[in-house]
Amino acid sequence: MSTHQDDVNEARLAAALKEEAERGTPAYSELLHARIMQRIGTAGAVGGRRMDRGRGWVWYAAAAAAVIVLGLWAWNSEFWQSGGGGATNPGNRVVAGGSLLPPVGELLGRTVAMAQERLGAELAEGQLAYLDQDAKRLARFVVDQIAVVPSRP
Amino acid sequence: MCSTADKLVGLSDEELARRSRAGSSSCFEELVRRFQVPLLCFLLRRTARRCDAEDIVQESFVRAYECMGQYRDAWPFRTWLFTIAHRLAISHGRKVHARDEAELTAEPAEDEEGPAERLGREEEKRGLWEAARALLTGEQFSAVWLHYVEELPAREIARVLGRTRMAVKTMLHRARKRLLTQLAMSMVGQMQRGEV
Repeated sequence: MSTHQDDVNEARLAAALKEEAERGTPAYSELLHARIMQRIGTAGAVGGRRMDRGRGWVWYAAAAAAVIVLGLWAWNSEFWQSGGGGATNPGNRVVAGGSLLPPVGELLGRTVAMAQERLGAELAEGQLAYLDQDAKRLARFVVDQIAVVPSRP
Repeated sequence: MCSTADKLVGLSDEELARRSRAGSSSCFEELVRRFQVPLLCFLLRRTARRCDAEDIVQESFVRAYECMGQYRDAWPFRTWLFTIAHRLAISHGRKVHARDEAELTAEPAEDEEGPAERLGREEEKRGLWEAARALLTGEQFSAVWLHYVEELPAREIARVLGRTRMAVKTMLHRARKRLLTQLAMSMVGQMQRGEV
């Protein structure tokens, strides 16, 4: 707990410190000012390099996002062009509403569906892996010709 | 933007900083004019050598100029500038410590100060701030200076030192206690020598 004497001592200390600091205050130096301004003159524009570095991550993030969107779009376009979309007419790739790019959600959905499709195709292909090319063609022909009828329990 | 010197004098530090950030070098020059003495005063006490203190003042302004884009209006400019100076003083202190250790066994270097400056320095050696520099850590010294001389509130000091407000209050309390003890001891010594 602080006593009255402590408060008095503290006030004295504060006054002594302040007074001594004021007593030792150096005079304003034009020489130092000129030195600083000269050094600043060589440092370049205000906030230049370091400001860029400070906010650089925003640009990096924006660039990364743009690259991802463009990549998805390119992959999607390639997929449509190769007829991978099943019943899609290549001439109709411009989506409804006049926009060249479909919404991002739709793009992601399509990408996931494409990946699933490719995985399914690879698995189906794996089932015929032990056959040679001609046997594979024959097997695919037979499988395509058989109508899929749900089995009864 | 800042056409006359008179116009600049009336502007607050923060307004000048805002304009400097927008590209006005005359506004930054005004800030250099305003803060040269307070910074030099702080760093003179902190480093004890005028040439070192001037170098850190210069470096502080250059850093502030380069990082002006990072300055946020929520901070008083004074606090921001002292934060830069405090950090530079810490790194300078580390270099000096290493240098001193290396020179400990070497011959004493030629004194760069003239007789008048040396006399002034001897006078200062008996001062409270000299005692504070000897007794307190660099951080405690900065806290005491910013509190008593710059009259910054604990919240701002905490920002400068990168500590919490409570930590600063504790730091100030301990520093005061040590200084008061030292002050009492020196007074007793003076009384015993019959100087008082």
